[in-house]
Amino acid sequence: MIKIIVDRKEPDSHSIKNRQDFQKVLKMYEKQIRLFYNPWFYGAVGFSSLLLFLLNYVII
Amino acid sequence: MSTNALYHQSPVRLQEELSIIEKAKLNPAHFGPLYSRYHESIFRYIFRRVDDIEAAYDITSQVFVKAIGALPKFEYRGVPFSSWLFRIAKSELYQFFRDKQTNRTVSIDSVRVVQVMDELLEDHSDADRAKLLKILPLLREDQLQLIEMRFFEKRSFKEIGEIMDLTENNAKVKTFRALIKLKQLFNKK
Repeated sequence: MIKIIVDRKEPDSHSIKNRQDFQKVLKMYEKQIRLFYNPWFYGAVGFSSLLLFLLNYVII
Repeated sequence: MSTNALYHQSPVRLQEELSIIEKAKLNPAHFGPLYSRYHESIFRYIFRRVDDIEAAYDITSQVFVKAIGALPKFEYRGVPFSSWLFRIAKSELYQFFRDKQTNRTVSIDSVRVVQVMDELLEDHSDADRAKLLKILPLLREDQLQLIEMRFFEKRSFKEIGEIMDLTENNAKVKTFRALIKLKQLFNKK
């Protein structure tokens, strides 16, 4: 169910600005990139896919 | 209608923004000025649709992480960078609702409720306004988004179209249809 809130107090611009943290965003991005470029990530994905394939079509 | 300075940019500012984008495509560290410029408007867009303020800050960060990742694919073809960011914000919001299995929020100003009521009825009472709040969740999600952006956030049809991936004219027609649907629900209930 959608929640309707009337006259909700919005944070002011100053407090929103205080929460800006570009370095954190950049670190989150770099972490994501590291994961995708890590061969172990694809190894795990590949191994899981192969296992699923074997379970579905070969073993069962 | 008040103009959104971030949306309606001067040609000089637009050019400056496009040059920052090109630099940021090569090195994400150059994305900083775009983050500072759009953080507040993206946060407010998300905050109005999410109940929890901390979740709104987290989703906002995720929007910018996604934007940095997708930036090399961004090409300026007349659609402002802000609209491109709002599209990412919209998609991240719905991902959040799916992951957390939570419902979305509609934050409305009582002044804006009166403006919507003016579109529906010539004369309206407090009871009518309370009724409107009850029937709003009965709209389809896309119709609610249109009403929300047009009447509660005061966006132009052009901007709505760019965020919803519609032409300006289509956004106008669909918003008009959403208003008719709202009127029908209002008279039925």
